[in-house]
Amino acid sequence: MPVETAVPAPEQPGSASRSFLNRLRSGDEVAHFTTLMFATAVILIVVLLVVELYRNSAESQSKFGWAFLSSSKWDPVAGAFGALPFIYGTVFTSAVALLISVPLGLGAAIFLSELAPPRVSDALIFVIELLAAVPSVIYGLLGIFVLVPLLRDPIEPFLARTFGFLPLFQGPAYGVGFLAAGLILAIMVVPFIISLSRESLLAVPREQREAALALGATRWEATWQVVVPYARLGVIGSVFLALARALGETMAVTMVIGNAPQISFSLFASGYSIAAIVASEFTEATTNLHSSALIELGLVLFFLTIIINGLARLLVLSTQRRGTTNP
Amino acid sequence: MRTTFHSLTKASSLEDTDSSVRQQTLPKLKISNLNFYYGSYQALHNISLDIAANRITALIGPSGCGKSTFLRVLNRMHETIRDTRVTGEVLVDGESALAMDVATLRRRVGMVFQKPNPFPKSVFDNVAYGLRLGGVRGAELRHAVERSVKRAALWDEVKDQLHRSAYDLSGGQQQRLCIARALAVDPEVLLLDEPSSALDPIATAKIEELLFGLKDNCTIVIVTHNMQQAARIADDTGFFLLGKLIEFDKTTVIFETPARKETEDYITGRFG
Repeated sequence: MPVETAVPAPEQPGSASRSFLNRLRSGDEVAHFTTLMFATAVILIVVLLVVELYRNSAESQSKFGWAFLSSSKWDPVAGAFGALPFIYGTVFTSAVALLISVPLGLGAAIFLSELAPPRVSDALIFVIELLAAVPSVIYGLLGIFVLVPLLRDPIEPFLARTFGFLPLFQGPAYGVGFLAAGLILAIMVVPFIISLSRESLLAVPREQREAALALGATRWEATWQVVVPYARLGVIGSVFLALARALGETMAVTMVIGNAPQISFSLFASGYSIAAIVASEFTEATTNLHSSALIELGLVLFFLTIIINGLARLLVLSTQRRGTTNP
Repeated sequence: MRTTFHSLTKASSLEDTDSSVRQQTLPKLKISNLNFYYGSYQALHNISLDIAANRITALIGPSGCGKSTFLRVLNRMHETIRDTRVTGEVLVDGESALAMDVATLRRRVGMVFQKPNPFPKSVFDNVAYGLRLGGVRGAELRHAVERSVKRAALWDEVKDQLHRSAYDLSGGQQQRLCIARALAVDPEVLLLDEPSSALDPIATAKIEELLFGLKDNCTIVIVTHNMQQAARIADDTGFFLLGKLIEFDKTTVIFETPARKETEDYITGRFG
């Protein structure tokens, strides 16, 4: 008897146990099928997205061809459309945003995971995660009413006086422009970087920290040389997410970027981003060519995001290989 | 003569005479009235112990008896745990370990942990880590790394793959790598916290063998669950129970004629 209870026998004739097993087995299949459907749906949505964007932008594609990507002319009245200023604005503002938010976010994450007492860390991270949930239009308002006036008066003139020899800091200070957009994006993505980096820093085994400390490393040396490199993948993952959000951010950017389709190396100049122009012109597009060009811009943004993420991932892979084999 | 630096020693034997030539009159580590608290819980009770130079000292006792905690206090690794407190004194060559600069202390008193914990870097970079912290570079660095890997009896196995990831090594090799890493900064004392508990018997034997070889230049304190290991390699053995040091003596005395009933019960396996 004890043997029978220890080893459940499926061929046992008891009808109750058999129907239970059957239920379990079919339950497995149901679960398998359902989750498979959900997983496939994700891929299907992506494919559908590309197909629809591609189909609906056919008119613009046939009219401009590849020149759409390299042309910087955007004139709905004349029917001339080029994506370059928008690609430039998107990439430029995202780069500015990452340049500011990555050091800031990583620094804050290191403080929260390594230095702050756990209770303080938990309280702060709660606030930081709240920030990630604030709607982007609120950030846009913050940009218009706080950031832009500040930039216009003390900050941009100061930068122009101090670093005016660089093309980055030349030109009139309007307040709105690439710098404002980059800053507001930085503020928006920094909670993601902090929250995710902190988690991966906390996940570093304490043995790693102790190994460095036991060799006479200071707390800072142990953190910077051992803990952060160990958590590298998680930290970079957080930057990816930040980048994806920065590339696609629409509302806050369109409120502060100045909405002028031009290419300028100055941070003070107005610009435009892909997401911003699609949002602001789509409802007003009167000609089919105009809306078709806007949809093609959407397609461009889609591929831009994929390419940039792919490149970043390649970069990670290469440093990963180097990290383990180099002297 | 020995009793001056080894107060608890009762018997002395012939095999000690040659190593005692090298010993100074001062113990390498002198621990007096050491108490240790995790918050309000007292983990160590009034421990006093002299650890002689150039010997292997084993600390044995059941789980949770405080022997690992004691080991961590010796190079102040307990400070990485929040809310701990220590009273009493630990002297390294007569200098207070608790008052010393902590980085200096840890370079003089190195530590090897229970689980092999190499950094996710190359074999070379692992061993070089402590040296680089000390500012060693170039040819000097390469020589020091080679010397340490040889001392850890790992050189023949890794000399052609110094630039491969340490994670490619086996568990036993990783642990010897961690020993090499600790030896690289030339510590006077090496603390080992159950260094072979995660390893198979062959890897364990290799580690024990290399510890023997280290005795000439280094004082070794090893915490072990494995009483055979203590009997095999240790010159002196201390028995811990419930946060107290029950008995400390020559290994032969502890294992053959222990003075305390608790020690005998533990050695003979009557409790654990």
